[in-house]
Amino acid sequence: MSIAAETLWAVARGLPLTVGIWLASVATGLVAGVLVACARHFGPRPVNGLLLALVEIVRGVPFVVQAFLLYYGGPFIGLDLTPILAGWLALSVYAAAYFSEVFRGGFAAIPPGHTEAARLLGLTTRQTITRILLPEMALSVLPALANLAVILIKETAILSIITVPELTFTVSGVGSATFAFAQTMTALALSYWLLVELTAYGARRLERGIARATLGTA
Amino acid sequence: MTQPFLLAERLERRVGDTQILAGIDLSVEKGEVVGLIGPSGSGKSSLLRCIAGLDPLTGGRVLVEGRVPAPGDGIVGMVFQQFNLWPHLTAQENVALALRLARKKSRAEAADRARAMLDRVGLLKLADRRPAQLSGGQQQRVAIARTLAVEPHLILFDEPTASLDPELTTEVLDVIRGLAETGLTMLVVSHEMGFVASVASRAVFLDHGKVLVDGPARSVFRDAAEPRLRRFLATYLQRVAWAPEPATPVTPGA
Repeated sequence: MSIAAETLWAVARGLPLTVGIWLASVATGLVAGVLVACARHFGPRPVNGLLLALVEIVRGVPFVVQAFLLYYGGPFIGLDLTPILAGWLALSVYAAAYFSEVFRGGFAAIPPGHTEAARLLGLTTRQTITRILLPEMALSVLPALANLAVILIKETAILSIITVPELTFTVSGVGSATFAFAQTMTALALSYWLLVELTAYGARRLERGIARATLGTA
Repeated sequence: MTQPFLLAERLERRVGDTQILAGIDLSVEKGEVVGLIGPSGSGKSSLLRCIAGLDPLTGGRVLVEGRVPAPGDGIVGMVFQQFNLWPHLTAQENVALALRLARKKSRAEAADRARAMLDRVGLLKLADRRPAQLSGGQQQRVAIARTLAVEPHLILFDEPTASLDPELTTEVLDVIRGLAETGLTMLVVSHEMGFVASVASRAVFLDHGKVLVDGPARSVFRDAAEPRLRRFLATYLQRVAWAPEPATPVTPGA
């Protein structure tokens, strides 16, 4: 098999897992990020302090170290995960920390009167969050969320060091075996770039959709 | 003696070193329209927020219909200076949302009632507009419709026209005037002295977190001798373009 064909084959094998782990982590990260931001915004002070500390730890440690600690250190505390599961969990936690800060900013940017009006009219906190605050901030937090999602695509490459057979793992394998580093790394770069562009395009479409739904404008 | 509709006893609110409410006593009977006037920082808005349960008291108590009101129990409604409509929802959805979520009405019922409420404030034609597509006066009328829809027993108006131009102010005040005539119990904080004088049955003048004057609106505006009130009203009268500038401060009974 030629180097080009081998590289393409490696891309084809690695890409689904990269996309899968990325989408799964973005999904769990968004849910966890919203929950963390809600708890910090609406919860009691000690909860806010605890979550702040967690967010600071996750943001303060390089992702490669976190992934490494979780996968190789996990078994020592009874957390014996497969590479893929460990990768998904590590990336989700990492994503949640950053997403939560975006949502926290979103909550803070909404005039308190919007929440007070909801309270007086009898809406529960949960209804206020899901029916008023999140839709209201959707358009303004989307660019920051999309930006993080794009960064997370590239962070999945780190998971190759905990032996997740994703894009970087499969393609750099070809490089090591054939010493065709220039070709394989270029293919890798192009693959990530393509994913990022697709994501950016999707985010723009989503932005227009949200604008139509929440502002009634195109 | 029967319990008044709204009873505020020795209300105190202190934030840090600032005494915002310094022992306010107020009792309001059902159907009364009470105008709250006073300089900025006198505690008018704080008083409303404490009655609504939005701000905590540091002393005293509030009873509405003999109970301590809690936000969301449907007893007290509030209309804000900044309207506080939800920008992602149309006028009709703004009015209908609480009907569906808090009053558990069906989608169709809530929509019907929302449209009826918008009709009442003269905005049925604009039911599908979002707040950004409405003028300030229209937004405030939607906010009033939203509050009316859940049928609170007491409505608090917190400077409802303070961010509106004179024309828009008039359209909002006309709506409030209409409500006053239906016998709703209302507390209205306003700097529109003419409006307070003509709509309120009673006027309360606050300064530095205290009630200085409390009485029938006519006598408060015309006759009350309280010097702080006279100074406050005199500065207002001087700004009314067509009023002759009083040579001397307005004297009681003038």
